[in-house]
Amino acid sequence: MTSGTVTTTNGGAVEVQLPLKVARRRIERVGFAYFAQRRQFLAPGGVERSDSDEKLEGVGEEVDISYLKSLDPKEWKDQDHYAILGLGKLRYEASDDDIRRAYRRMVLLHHPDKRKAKGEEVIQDDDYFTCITKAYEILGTSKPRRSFDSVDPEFDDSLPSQNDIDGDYFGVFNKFFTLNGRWSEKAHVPAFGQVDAKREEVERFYNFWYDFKSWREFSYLDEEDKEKGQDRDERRWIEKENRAARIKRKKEEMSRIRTLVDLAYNNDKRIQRFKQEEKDRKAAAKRAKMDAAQAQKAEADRAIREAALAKEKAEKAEQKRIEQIRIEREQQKKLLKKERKTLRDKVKDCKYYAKNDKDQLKHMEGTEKICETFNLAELQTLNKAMETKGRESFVAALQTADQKIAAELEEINQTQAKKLVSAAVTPKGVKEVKKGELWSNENVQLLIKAVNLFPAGTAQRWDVIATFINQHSPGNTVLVNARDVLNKAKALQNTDHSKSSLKTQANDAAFASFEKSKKDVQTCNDITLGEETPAQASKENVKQNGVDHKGNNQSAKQNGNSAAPAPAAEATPAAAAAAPATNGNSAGGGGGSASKTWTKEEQALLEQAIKTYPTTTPDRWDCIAACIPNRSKKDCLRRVKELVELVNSKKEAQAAVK
Amino acid sequence: MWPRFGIKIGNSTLCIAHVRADGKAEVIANKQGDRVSQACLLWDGVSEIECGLTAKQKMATRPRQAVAHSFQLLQPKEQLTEEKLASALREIPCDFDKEELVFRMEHTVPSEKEDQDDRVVTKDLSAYQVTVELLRAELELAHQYHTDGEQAPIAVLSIPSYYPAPAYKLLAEAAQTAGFHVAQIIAEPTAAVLGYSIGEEQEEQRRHVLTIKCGGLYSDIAFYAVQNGLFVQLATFGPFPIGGRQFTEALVQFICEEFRRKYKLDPHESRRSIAKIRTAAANCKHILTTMPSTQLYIDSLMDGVDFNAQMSRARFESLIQPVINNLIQQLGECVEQAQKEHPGLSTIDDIVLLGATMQIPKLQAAVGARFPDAKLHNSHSADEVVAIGCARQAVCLIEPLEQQLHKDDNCLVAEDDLYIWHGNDEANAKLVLGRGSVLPAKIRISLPQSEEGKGAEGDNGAASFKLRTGESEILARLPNSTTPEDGLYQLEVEVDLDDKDGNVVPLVRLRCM
Repeated sequence: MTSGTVTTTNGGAVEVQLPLKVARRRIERVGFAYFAQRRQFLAPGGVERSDSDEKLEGVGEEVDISYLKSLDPKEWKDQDHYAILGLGKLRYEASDDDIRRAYRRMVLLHHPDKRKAKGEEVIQDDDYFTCITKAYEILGTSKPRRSFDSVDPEFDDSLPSQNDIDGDYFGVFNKFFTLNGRWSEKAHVPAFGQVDAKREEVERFYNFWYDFKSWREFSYLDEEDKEKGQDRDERRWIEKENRAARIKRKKEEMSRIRTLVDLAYNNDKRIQRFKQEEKDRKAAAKRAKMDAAQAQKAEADRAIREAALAKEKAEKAEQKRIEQIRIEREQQKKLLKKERKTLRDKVKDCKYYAKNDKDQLKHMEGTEKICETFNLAELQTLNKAMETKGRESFVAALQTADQKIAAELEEINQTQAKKLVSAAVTPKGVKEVKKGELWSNENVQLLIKAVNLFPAGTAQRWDVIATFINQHSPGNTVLVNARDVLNKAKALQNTDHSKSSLKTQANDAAFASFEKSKKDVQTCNDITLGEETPAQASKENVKQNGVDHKGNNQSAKQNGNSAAPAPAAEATPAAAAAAPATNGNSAGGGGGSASKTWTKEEQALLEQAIKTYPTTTPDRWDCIAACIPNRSKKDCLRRVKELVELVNSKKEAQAAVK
Repeated sequence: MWPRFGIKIGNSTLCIAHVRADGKAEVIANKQGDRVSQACLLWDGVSEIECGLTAKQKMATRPRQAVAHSFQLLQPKEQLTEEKLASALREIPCDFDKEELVFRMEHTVPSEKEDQDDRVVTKDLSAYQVTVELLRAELELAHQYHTDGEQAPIAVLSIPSYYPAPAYKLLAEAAQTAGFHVAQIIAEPTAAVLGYSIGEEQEEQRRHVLTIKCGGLYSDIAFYAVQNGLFVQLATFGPFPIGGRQFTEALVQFICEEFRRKYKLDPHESRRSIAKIRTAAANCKHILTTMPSTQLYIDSLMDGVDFNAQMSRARFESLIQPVINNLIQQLGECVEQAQKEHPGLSTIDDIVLLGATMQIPKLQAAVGARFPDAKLHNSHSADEVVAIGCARQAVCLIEPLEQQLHKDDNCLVAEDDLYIWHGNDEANAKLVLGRGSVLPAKIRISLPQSEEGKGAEGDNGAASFKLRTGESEILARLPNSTTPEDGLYQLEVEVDLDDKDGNVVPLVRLRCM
């Protein structure tokens, strides 16, 4: 049952109207099937056509059949797969599409079936077509292609020789770096550039190449295939060996690149130029700096020299001036001498204008006086006057000379008197008081002690001694310093010991003790009878004032209050009590003299305290002193000593009487 | 171009899947480790907007600041009927301005001074903006796998089957704004069917697929015919207001009853209590899809009284039975109607379940019982299958950068087979076009030379071929065709269409290579 119409159209195609049953469907635009259908519809035959024969034309070059025939499929590893596919020129630059098309072309030409159809004899096992498929196997997939590219037999691994470099440096290295640039993992390999390249460009280039990362790997050269291993261990072993070999090769490759870059770098005229420029720049900078320094130095030198010159000049001028003055003075002196001589000669010639011998002597003396007192001008006038008037002028001159001498004397006297007065008015008063205060006997004793304690050679001896004195002097109202100490020490060394107050002091003390021993009865009376303070005051005075008042005192003691001796009697009892106290403090009467007289109450307190604190008490005297107001430990001790002495002397006296 | 992503966006959840290097689709878990993100959005009152689970949790306490179930409003204005709006608004926690069609979120700022009134700040977001925000959160997940800075991630999005065509455009724009490159938007049931790779073998046998979606708020039903790997949507029904919400509500009612019975307190009095119960009930529902029983414990439900009950799956199933019955009844009606429209739809071969609610075992069992002969597909989690399907579709795309927003393609399909042979050699006839193939098509075919035709055509240089379709046979003579050396004719058969006065006539163009 045939129906339908046939319409012939051009191009060898036939169109037929078909009673095909169709239906409209709303198909969901999902799923693979739908897209497969769409793809066909949208791009009919799109994929197929790209494989069509006409497009294969022009891809790659013709491959010599004898070359292909010569290939041994077993030796595939050593074959040039690009050459097999007819891409011997494009090589690594061939795109995937190129390779695919080249392969298709080769298949069309060399497939065993095709050749069989052409009547060619094909040995199935050992056919060169295997090499073509192998080549596509390797080049068609990216990873094996990379490993094959890495060991591309066409690639020149060599380095440029020195000759080449010397010949055409830029040509050679441009070639080598573009060649090796293909291994770079990074795209955009910087160009080697020409002789006039900018510095940054050159630096970028070398930076790039010094940390060049290559994708080149050498798995293609593996000795054995991992997959050939019988078991796991063997495979592992093979893998290990292979890896070691790869790493070694990779290292070699890296060092090769490195050598290449080094070679380029070391021979690079641009680098040398840059270095030279840098050097020049630095040298210039340095030179400029040095020049500046030198100029500065020269300037300074010049200034110094000028200053020295000026100084010298000034000195010379000064010297000259001094010389001048000296000469003038000498001249004047000479003149003076001359004048004097003329005067003397003249006077002598005129027999001293003397009327008699006495006159003569007087005039001779007078002449000398005139010579001494008159200055040049006066002498000259005198000499002139004597020419004319002779004796009168001489006598007048004598008189003036006498007057002058008298006036001079007067003046000297006056100034001396003034000096004395002024010296007596201010400094003396202050100084004396101060000195007196400073060097009380106590302090002097301390000084002697300290000087012995700190022998010569002690570090800062005088400071130490001063501190010692300051610390130990009881009434330290005035602080001594090192200078005072030194002066005093020197003064003590130099002064006449017989005049020293110390000596008198010692003598006084000796006398006092002697006195006491003699008068213990009296003193005992003082205490026992409750004699009032004046008696004690007088006793103190006796001690201080020394031997002179001995007699007086004696009488005073005997007379009691009624007949007071000169110093004590004049004062009221209170004043008398105060006087020695102040004396003790300021004038520095002997060691123990500082203490005030003991009142009855104080005495009672002292006795009570002595009883309260037996000798065993630690700090006994401190405690005792605490019991008595206004009395120090020292005072108490002294008082007790005195009392003990008194008692002892009394006993002795009593014993002597018996 | 890779990886590509498939995104499911719905009223209550979002899900994103990516295509792995091996071509398989895999769901991406979000920050909380959930494979499905909650389609909730919360405004913090200042500037921050957070999405997902945290927003949902805070929604219970700050409903005025939260947006949920917004996707149903991502439709062109004219499509939003009063009725639709009314049903949608019941599920939205915050205010919705019907005039402006914006969500109005309110935040009360406590006054700083005693004498001042609290200040109320509001923020308006349209459904479109909400969708953008939600998709942005998904984009973050996509960025785990997508690292290309220049090209936005390519994604296929799904949309419920009942959405009108303009909504596709809206969704695509929202996704573009969020930062995806939308390659295609497909219907949810279609995606689910793809997710189970039904029809990938491209069998010639026509299969009918029933998809049942039961999501958070609505359910819908669709019928597909699959042939040669092509999908034809036969019919869709829905949306029906049966969803996870109804199931939860059944449980909520139960809890309320229990509570009232036990403590004589009515949780309906307090909105907060109801919210608490609802959260607990939803949680309980999820647990019971996998576990046989669970503890239902609500802390301080009302007036400081806790609620505690043991809930077994059997009890839960008895509670939701009415809802299931409702759905099954709806399903029955739909099937009946579909069969009326499409007489071919007598048998249903596959059933695909999608939507989170379809994970309830009892529901699956009920569907299975209703169609005992069909194959029930439930190996994928029902809430993820759509995203997986979208991702699968993303794999199929030829031109992923070209946007495809029409869900289907009006094609002519061959209803019969077309064979061709040379001369009288009918035994060596080859199939050119199978039933169900899309027209136009171009096929290359190689035909062996017939034995008896060898000498016959040698002289006039024309080979004669015969084409047969159905009952009719056509003879076509191909002039200038040289007899091939190997005895094989390389033919290019182009089946095209000739439009004659609106009457489509198929045309076959034969060419010898």
